[in-house]
Amino acid sequence: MFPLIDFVGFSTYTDFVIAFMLGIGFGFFLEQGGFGNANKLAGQFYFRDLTVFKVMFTAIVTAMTGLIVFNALGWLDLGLVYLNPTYLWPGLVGGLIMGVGFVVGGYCPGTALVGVTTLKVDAVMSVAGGLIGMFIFAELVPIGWLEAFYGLETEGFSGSLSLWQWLDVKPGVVGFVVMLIALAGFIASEWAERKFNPQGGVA
Amino acid sequence: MTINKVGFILGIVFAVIMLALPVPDNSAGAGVTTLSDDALVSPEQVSDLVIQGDISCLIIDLRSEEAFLEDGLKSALSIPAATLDEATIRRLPTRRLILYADDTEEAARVWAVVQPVHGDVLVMDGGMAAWNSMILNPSAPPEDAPEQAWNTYKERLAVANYYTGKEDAAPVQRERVVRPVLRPRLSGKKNEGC
Repeated sequence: MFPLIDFVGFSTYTDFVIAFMLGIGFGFFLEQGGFGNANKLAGQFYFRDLTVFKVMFTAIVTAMTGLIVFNALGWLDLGLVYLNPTYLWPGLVGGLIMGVGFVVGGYCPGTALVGVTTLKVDAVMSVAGGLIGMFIFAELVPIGWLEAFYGLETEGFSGSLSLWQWLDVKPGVVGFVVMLIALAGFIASEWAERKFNPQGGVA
Repeated sequence: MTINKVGFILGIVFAVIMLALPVPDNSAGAGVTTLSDDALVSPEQVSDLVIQGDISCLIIDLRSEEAFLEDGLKSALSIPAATLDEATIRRLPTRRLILYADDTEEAARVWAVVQPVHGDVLVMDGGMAAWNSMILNPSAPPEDAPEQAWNTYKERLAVANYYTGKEDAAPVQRERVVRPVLRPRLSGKKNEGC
């Protein structure tokens, strides 16, 4: 039955329309949740406001639970769900750059776009910085060692890889462990917020 | 009971449910890139396409150029995996691509990158290792095997001779050519088959 795109046979352009509508909905609720505010977003790095951590981890475990349960019940064919190929070392470097940008700018790419919709100057600057960074990266990639690092032959390239394939365990085992990590994270984040931001205001 | 406590209990319940769920067929295995059967094509099917001169599919050898020149498939195109970037993929024809390397796993790694960009890509199951054992060096059945098995063997031998050039005889044409299974398309391109 799922993915609907394969089951119903939507065209590529219908995919785009659905993705666009989902994106609008996602952005709307991010904005309504206060995720267009850099102070709130950056608060997690000081353990004063861990809403971002809690919301994102909740989204992850909700989607994960749905995928694992639906797949086990035969309602979803996980083999038809596209997984981004894993480039381990480029991924780690990219994550580090993105993390530094998040701390400095106060936005991740998605929330920066949310901030732009309410014309926040820092969000506009974050998006502009991201676009300039993409342009510079695209111009630099033809350099031999950089292209090799990000290419198919890079040592960390593993194709489309999921955790349970890598660990050679049932999907449910990964789901169980990730759920426990999430619950422990929620408890720890509540404790951290009480300790570092006892007044409970925006950091 | 607060919402936090309800959420915590629900989390524990779902965690235990996930742990108890059975293993679905499509997520088993420990390969780095798991291909579904629909994304695989057998060496025999590829051989049929080559013998017929079918140009509705483009066969791509992902190994080094030296390996391709040594024993690459007739009518295949050599594009070593190391040189295959997104720009190259976008320049490829829109017809179905069949990738092969030394083994399935190696080609599957490239499939994971090419498939999302191109949309209609298959991998030759077993790669050159399977090609060599199944097509070029078919094994003879036991002496007491039924006649049908020997006929199949002779057919395969004729195909092997076609590729190795040991005999001039043309390969025995099968009555029914097995076509690669059509993979459900994720893109809106026209759905031509091989």
